[in-house]
Amino acid sequence: MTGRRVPRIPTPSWYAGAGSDQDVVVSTRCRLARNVDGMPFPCVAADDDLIEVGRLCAQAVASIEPHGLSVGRPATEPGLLADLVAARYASFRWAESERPGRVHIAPDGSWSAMVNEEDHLRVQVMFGGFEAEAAVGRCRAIAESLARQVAFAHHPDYGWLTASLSNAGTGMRLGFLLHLPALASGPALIEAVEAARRMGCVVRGAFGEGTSGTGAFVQVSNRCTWGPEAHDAVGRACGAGRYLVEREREARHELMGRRTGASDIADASAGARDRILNADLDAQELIHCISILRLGMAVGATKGGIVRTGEWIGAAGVMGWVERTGRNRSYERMRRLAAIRSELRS
Amino acid sequence: MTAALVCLDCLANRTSDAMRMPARFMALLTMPTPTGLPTVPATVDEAASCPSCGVTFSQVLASGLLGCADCYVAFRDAVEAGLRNAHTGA
Repeated sequence: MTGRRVPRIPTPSWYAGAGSDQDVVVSTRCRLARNVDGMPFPCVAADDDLIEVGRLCAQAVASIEPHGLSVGRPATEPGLLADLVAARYASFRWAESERPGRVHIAPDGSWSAMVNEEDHLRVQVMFGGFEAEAAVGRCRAIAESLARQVAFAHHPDYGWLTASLSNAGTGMRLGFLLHLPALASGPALIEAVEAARRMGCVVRGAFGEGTSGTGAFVQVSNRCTWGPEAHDAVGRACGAGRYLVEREREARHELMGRRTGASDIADASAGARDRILNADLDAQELIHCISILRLGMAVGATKGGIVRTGEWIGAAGVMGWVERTGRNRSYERMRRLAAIRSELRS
Repeated sequence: MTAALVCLDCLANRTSDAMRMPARFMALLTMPTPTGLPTVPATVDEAASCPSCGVTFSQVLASGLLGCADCYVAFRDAVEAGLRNAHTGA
């Protein structure tokens, strides 16, 4: 695929980052799931149904964001699919399907709408750092605007109806991508993750269930979207996120307080930087190196803008994806590593 | 695994127990998220199907996914049990 030009997508707003707590919090994401009333869900829908869903959703999205980018599926350029996944505009699941679907992306890169993933419509807003209030507010506003254009399936007792019961009710998932390298290096991690679970949250690897090689990047999000506990889902997710942030900071402080702590982190960061620049890394090695380097930046042991590491994490994630799926493996590894190296050298 | 890549583990704690943490960490992170289904109330016939989309309850159990909005009514008992299962007990 080398030599083919991959169309540009809007730069995700979470790459730039403006939120708080970026030493630990990479990004905040709020997602709302909805299904078009009267249409079968994607898992059983015929292609004609999915095309009609796509048309209805495209009209609704265009009514509130006429200048966004819309990317169709199938027959999209593979490099473009990888870019959508790296930017987290689209999920691995969406990108792997070849059935009719689309992703709509706001020009400012702050939100996207996946059409025909597990549900007909998944609207998501992402910001860098800890930005829960802004992400939830924006996502709800977008979903409410869309609901004025297209009727979504709803039940008085069950709330918004989704293909999986785990999303029914509010359809909302508020999550944070956290970097917990110090906590992950010691026994306190298990206790911290269990505490987050007791607070009503799900803790997973950076790239979803069953993925390995997270490099101590984890996602924490609310578990409940239905019933009494769903009413406080935002508070629970924020509480668990804040708790893990503070525990990570304590663990970093403890690390730095050791006799050789600062120099050990500086040495490890230099080694990680050298490997990124010079070694032919696979995705798992890359994410570990990014993790070490990011820790070094966060504690001031090495130079570099920590905000830029968000994009690198996305790149490592998509490298892992192409390694698993065999999609343009060499090409994607080459261009992802080249982009990161270029920034590290500058 | 190269020296540079194990450094982060070494930094925190140089004991052998600490070196086992990543595996335990990963086991925690890869535990499946509760989906709500399948928990099968005795009142639901696995051969029952949704009159709108035709999905059978055994298909719902296999995929963990309902076929359409009307499945919520067609499989009401299982849906309500599944919702309670997925969204309580934090």
